[in-house]
Amino acid sequence: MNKQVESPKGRIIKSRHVKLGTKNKKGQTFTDVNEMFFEAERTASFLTGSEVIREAIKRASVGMSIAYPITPQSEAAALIGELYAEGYLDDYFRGESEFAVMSQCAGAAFGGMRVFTTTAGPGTLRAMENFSMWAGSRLPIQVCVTMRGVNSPLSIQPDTLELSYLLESGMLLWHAETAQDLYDFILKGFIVAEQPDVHLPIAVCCDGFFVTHTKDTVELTPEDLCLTPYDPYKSPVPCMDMECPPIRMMRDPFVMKSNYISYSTHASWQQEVRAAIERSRKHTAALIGGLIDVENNDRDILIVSSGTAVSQGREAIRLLEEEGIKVGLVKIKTIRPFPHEEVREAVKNAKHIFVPEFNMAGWLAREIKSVINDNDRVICGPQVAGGMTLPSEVIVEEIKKYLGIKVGSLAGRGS
Amino acid sequence: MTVHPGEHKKIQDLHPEEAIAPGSALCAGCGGLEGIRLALKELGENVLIANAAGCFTLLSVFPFTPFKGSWLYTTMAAPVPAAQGVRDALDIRREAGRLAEEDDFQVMVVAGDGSSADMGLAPTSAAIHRRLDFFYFCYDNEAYGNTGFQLSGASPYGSATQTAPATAGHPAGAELGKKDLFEIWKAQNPPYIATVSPREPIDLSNKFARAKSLHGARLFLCLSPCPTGWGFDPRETHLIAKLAVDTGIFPLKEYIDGQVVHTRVPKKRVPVENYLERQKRFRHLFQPKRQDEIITRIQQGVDSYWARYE
Repeated sequence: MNKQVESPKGRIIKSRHVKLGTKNKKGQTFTDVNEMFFEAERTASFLTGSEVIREAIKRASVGMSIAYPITPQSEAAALIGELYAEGYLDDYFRGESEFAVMSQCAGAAFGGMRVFTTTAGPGTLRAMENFSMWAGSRLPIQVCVTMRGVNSPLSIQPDTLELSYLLESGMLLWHAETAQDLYDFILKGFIVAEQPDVHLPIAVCCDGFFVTHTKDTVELTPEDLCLTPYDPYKSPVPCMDMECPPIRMMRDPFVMKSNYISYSTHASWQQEVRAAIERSRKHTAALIGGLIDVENNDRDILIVSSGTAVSQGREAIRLLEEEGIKVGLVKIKTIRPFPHEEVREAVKNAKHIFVPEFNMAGWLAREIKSVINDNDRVICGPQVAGGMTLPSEVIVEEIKKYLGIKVGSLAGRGS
Repeated sequence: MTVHPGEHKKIQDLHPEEAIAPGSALCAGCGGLEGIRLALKELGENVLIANAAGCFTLLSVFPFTPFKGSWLYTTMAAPVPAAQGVRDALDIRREAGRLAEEDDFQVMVVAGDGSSADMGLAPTSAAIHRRLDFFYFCYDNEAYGNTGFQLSGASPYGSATQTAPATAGHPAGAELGKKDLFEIWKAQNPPYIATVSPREPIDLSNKFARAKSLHGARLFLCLSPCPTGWGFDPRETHLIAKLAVDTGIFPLKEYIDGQVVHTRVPKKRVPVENYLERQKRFRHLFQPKRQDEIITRIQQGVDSYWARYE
């Protein structure tokens, strides 16, 4: 049913669920991923991150989207409602809470739909139980997480803390730096998540406000091209069927009994989910151009980060360069699978590694420390919590202080 | 009592096929199991059950399943949202011609009273509001039975549970009344609600037969006498279930076309004592000292319920 085709950068299974070149009901042409991402001409548009989510979903042949309606962090769900009204989605409705929404998504994916939803902050935590269930059930649902603060006192400012809760959920986790990343990650995320040897849920994460609410120039693929729809019959656990998994499997839950066969089945299934995350590497690298981006990593000092902290790091590097301090940059694009080899290789000559983060937990620094040699090279910070920006000057100050260079106080600068 | 044409009149009328095989992991004498057996006899095997964690989760235990139909477990609080997703996806696929009619099936949520009355109530309310086309089968044993019989929103006043034992300070055990799910559901005006009892197979089957011809949320509350939690000999399940109806504690009724109709009205109600004294969970009302005040209050609750309809 599927054949492997050569993409310019790797091997992606080409969908033959619909005939390529035919049109959907909105007049968009079903297009192969290679053509859509690497050949089709792109046009520059000036959009907010939320609008970018809408533009991506417009081209993604999504079957169902279920929304929790309030929009404290992003109006993306409401914009997708507009797409439904225009006829781009088969179904869209308002769920009663994030927890219910994620379970509704599961039901829809069991039924063979390509499913997309969004959440943020407290909603992510409210929905939490379902994410592990998605992964264990091998449902390739995509959730776009527009990350914001979760702690009390309540904050709707950007904070990447919730990503640390998702680390071991069994989902693929990609972290977009810019609106352009977000656009590409959403579309490409469907393709990687639905590969038969992966077939896992994916959380495409971005930093709230900085990405969702600000406008940026984004190169969009043509409006009249769309992805081929999800083919439930290429699932490694066939789509809903009375006699086949996953329904067949879900009606025989593994974990309900204390016996050896239950234990070993559960254990091997968890290993399989993790193995599937690993197997996503080759598809991911082919589509998004490697799991990390590297700039001048031959320098003694490196900034290694993900999300908008990378943008701030890049600006800090420019400021430091004016003072003659040379710093390199490593941008991590996928948190799961974590780019162990790539990071280890990229930082092997660095003497000091700074990890600026938009959260107080420092989970990215921990991840990095856990995979590199001589991890006392890692300086965990600077870190800020929700409600605060992470000015590049703060990163500059952190690096200079560490190098023993005197710095003036930043107090009173309104940052 | 309204008699509907074509309905079952005697036990021999019931569908001879079984959609659930005997020999599951549930306790001997489980009233709810008999209820779901009778329900599935009427609905047939093309049923997908979306389950909430509870006693009945033990029905489908890898690698065995007693069902001819299908079974889906997502999370304890969200079997109804799962059913919603499945229903919508199947509808889309049918409309698009990607699913043959014979491959389609009815979606039924099977949940205990804990999930139904407590953590799963909000999603259920939302699904009724959205007019989801599904069956809801609540096996009501009036506590969280699977984990050792802890107090649920459906535990009746005067019953002892693990988390509400009868003590000197709390002589009644459970001090709050049973949450009235029937009325809560009714407030949203779904097309069909019924209470059913495994002791009344013809009544139960007729209710499922009627519900089958309707669309939308069709909700069933099945009294599930629970030998382990309620404390009685498994062979007495049917007697307990019968007493629940005969005492008027568990009224058999249905809500259809905006009307509540009682389908079995006890001619002369047996005193509640006869029902209570046979169960260990009410033993503290009789031993070591009879607590007349509590027993009277339970009897008054039953009498005032029926007074509304007499």
